[in-house]
Amino acid sequence: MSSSFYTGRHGSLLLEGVKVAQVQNWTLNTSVSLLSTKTLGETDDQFIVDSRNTSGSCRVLYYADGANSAGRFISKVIKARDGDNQNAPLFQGDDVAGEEERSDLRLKVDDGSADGRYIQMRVFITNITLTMAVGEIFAADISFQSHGAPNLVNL
Amino acid sequence: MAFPTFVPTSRSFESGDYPVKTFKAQNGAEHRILYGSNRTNMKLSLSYANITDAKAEQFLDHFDEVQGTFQTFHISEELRGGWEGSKDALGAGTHGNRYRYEQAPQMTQVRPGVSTVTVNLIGVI
Repeated sequence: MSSSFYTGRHGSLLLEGVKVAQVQNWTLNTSVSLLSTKTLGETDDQFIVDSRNTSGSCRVLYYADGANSAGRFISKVIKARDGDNQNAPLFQGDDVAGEEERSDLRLKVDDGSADGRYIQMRVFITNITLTMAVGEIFAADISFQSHGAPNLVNL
Repeated sequence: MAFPTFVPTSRSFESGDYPVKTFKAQNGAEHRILYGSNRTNMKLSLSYANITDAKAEQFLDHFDEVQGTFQTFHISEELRGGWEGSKDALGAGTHGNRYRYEQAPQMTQVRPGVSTVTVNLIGVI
């Protein structure tokens, strides 16, 4: 019986259903918070589940291309003001007319099958840090927060 | 329906006092008159963190049954769980008191199906 391991070579990331090129890494963190039910006189903590939080981050290298993937991420958050108005829209989804607030993000592991293994969720991009430094490639560090539980999980 | 018997997650107790009236003269001398032999006005605050809504509801039901802050009632031994001193030290009965609600139970919904309830009781003769 052989075992399959996966490396960074098998990883990819899809934003709004489109594969993002030049992703250097992605991470996903799911945490569960607990509520203590320990009462007076008991020695050891006891818990019930309260809630779950899923968030993550990725690093996307910037490169000059018409369909620049890092630029697609960046443009969801960093937007120019609207005319004389000092404000800019906060919507991050593709449906601008529908004022869609969230984006679709799929974290994928290519296992050779058609769809691969993946987690897909509706996310808010909560932070983008652009880093330009001597001797390094211009890159965007992006953090995201899942809105609710993932839509699809196939791991 | 008796007062719910769950062990609380935290408890605070004020022992109350004897009915004493104090008179102070202009020269600073103090005179005290003891009006009764029973300590009263003890306050017991019980907090039940993260209990089921069904349990929380029992406090609301009991509050209705005793007509809010009107009627008095006894509390059970379970409420003193974790206390290793004399059980009657936290009670009101030793001094001829019974507890009543000092105010309505306070309920905070923590998540669906789970609530935290705080109950404040006061001992009265």
